[in-house]
Parts: sequence; C-alpha cells; structure tokens
Amino acid sequence: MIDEQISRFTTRLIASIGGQLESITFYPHPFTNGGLVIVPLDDVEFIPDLISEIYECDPPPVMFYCLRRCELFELSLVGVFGWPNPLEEKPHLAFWLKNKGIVLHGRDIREEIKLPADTSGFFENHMQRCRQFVRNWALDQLRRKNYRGMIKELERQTRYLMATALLSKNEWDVSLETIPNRFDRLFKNGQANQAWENMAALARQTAEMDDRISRQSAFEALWFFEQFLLKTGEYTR
Amino acid sequence: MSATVKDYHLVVDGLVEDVGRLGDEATSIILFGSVARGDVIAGQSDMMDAYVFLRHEVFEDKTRFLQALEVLSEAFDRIAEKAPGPFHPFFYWDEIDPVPAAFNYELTTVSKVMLGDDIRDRIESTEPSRQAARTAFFEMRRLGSPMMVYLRKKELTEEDCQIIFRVLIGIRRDLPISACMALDIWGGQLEAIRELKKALPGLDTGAIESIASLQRQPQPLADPEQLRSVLKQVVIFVEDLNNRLIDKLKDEARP
Repeated sequence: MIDEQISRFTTRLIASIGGQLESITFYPHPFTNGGLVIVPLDDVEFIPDLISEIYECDPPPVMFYCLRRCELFELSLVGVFGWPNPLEEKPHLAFWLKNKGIVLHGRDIREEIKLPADTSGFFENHMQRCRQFVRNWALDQLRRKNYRGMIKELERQTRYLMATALLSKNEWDVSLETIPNRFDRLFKNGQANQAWENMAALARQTAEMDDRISRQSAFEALWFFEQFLLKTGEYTR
Repeated sequence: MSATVKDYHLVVDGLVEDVGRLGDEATSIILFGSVARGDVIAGQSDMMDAYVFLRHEVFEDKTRFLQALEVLSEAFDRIAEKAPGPFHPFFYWDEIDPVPAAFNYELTTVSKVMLGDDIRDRIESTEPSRQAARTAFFEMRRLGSPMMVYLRKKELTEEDCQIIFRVLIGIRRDLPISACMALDIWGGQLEAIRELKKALPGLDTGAIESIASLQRQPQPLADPEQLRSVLKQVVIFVEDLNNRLIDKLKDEARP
C-alpha cells in the first residue's frame, strides 16, 4: 500500500525529471514509513544536480537513495548506526526492498538487489555503534535532563538491536511489537531477556515518574541497556 | 572573549580531574583528535575526542556502574559548560572491548594518554568493524544529499551558512580518511590526502584545501556565495572520488 504523499511525490518527480530516471522503487520498512530508491539513467553524469531537483519536488519525510545501477550494492551494506540518525534502516533494507518493494516507475530493480551474504557481522557492528553512540548520546540526555525521553529511546534501541540479531537467524520479516518475543524464542538468553524486561517495565512507567524518580530510572535504564549488551556479547565472539 | 587553544587544554585537564575521582575504576583516558595532534582551530575544533576506559568489572556490578556513571555525567556537564567551541561527549568503554576500526589508528598512534595506564598496544579492532569502516565513505556521501539543496537555493540565510560551514569542516576531517579506508588504507587524518593522491593518481584534492583556507579566515561565514562556491567544489570532489572508488572496488572484485 503506497502512501498518498509518496504517490503524489512520484507523479511530480516523473513530470519533472522522469526522462533522466531509469526507475523508482518504494520499499516498506518495519521501523519506519519506508523509503524510495531512485535510479538515474547511466548517462546522467552529475548526480548532485539530480538530487537538488528531487528536493525541489518536495519529497515526503522518508529516506531516499539516489543511486546508479553500479551503486546498488550500497543498499546491502550494514549502515552507520549513530546519532544524529538514531535509526539505521540499512540492515533490513535489502530484505524488504527485494521481497516487498513496489516498482513505481520504470525498470524492476528488485531482481538485482543482492541480499547481504553474511549478516553475522551486522550485530557486532550494531553493538559496537551502540557502545560508541548510544552511550555518549545518553550522557548528553542526562545533561539535558531528558530522563523520560532517554528511557523510551533506550527501550527502542534495544528492540532495534534484537532485530539485527534476528537477521542472523534469517528473521527479517518482523515488526517492532513482535521483536522481543521472537528474540526470546530464538535465542533463549535468559539474562539478556531479564535486562530487556526490566528496561521495558521502566519505559512503561515513565508517565508516572516525578523528576527525582525519572533521573534515577534513566541511570537504571542505561544499566539495563549495558547488561543487554554484555549478555548478548557472546553472539559477536 | 574569543576562544584560545589553551581553553581546550583546560577543558581536557578538567576531564582528567573529574575522571580521576573514579580511582582504580578508570583504567585510562586516551585523547585523540585535534587536541592530541596539536592542530586545534580555536572556536572551530570540536571536543571531546577521548576514550575513557573503565575496568571490565564496572560493567558487571550495578552499584559500581551507577557510581561511575554519576562521575562521567558530571564530567560531561563540566565540558559542556567550559568548552570553547563545539562539543560532544567523550566515549566510555569497557577496557576489554575492541574499538571501532575507524578510530583505531588515531587512538593508538596519534594520541595521548592523559590518565592511568598506557593500554594502546592492547587496543584491537575486529574484521567486521574494518569491513564496516570500508563502507563509511558511501554512507557519508548519502548523508550529504540534503546539502544539495544549497547549491540552488536563491539566497542563503545565516543559518544555512552555519550548516554549510559545519558540514564542510566535517568533510575535511572525515571524508579523506573514509575514502582511504574504502581503499583498505589505514592511517591518520594528516596523511589521508597524501595517501589518496598516491592511490588515485590525478585526483584533484583542491576542495579540501579550499575548506582549510575558509577555516583560516577571520570571518568564514561572511560571504554566503563564497561558501556556496566551496560547497560546489567539494561536491564535485566527492563525486569524482566516489566514481574512482567504485571503479577501484569493481577492479578488486574481478577474479
């Protein structure tokens, strides 16, 4: 099902620069509103001009990739995971594009999309980026006294981390809601699950917390997040 | 009052003093980046590029972890209060965990031990981390897409100019080294341009010098059209670099 905004944007894009495009494909994504892969014709020499024209067509707030055919391999890479983009679509992107993508214009690129050959390193990289960015992001949230926001975001980041771990079991067709159960069922990691349960319980209580409790809970949430990292570290060794 | 290089060093001293309160719980503080290299541009260089390594046991004991977190949190509050330019938190790290490959060289080579043990010969990175670092250039190029709006925007506002300038500084700092990593060349920021020119003969790196020259101006944001022109030069450089890297990787993939 294509969102009305995306549909209208595609119409504008085709009217404006359709002659320079080989294809437009929409991909749904389990954590976001999905995105667009825009492939220019091979004879388009300077992609930045095309990108500024795409922006002039007022794109909806979804991710878009403007890649030549020879650059499509980039869609199957691990991604960067880190602030200021707290959510990296990449680990799941190729799976959803290939299996659930919708061609909106031109050639069907889905056959050409290669699924990541080995997702075992994805979790290690995701975990390392959590150590690098979630930790120092958390220090900044403590400074800003955004305690409730920090607890909720740590809970969300743990779900993303579980989702990346599930890729190693070929489980890509997930939703934010189903991730914790699937993770528990497939990994049977009691200690990691306990850390998750504790963090999820804190996230459910944020509305009732006063300032003092919310600060203490933010510290605890980071402890539970650290425990989740520690207890799942074995998957990277 | 304008920022000085000394202000940067005072903030580093403050971090050492604060983390020192952790006693044996902190194994080491290793400083890298512009302050460690000695090429700070006062008011423009960011801080705090430092790893605070903690004993592994801190991550296994709730009380010890929460106490350490309290100290680290206060240390960052002080950095935010005193930083003479852009700032971000330092990294706190378990002493036994490998570090991201993208930071390995600077952290182990162009760095300074500010507190505790010199553990640099024990710092490692893993193969998946190296593989991810080799893709960073392509991710940076993608993340730069929204900047293309400024190539055509009729009039650049002061805020636009600040965004462009910040991004240009980031490009000068991170892009050459990312391109080197894509080519499996692992070195520091200072050698990155030289290494790139060696690996990709004929590459015009003048755009990076244009950013440096902009940074040296007393009022780098004063002329929006000059900023736009440097941005355009940089975009052309990035595209040329991208095309060359793709060709090189294609060659590597050939049997």
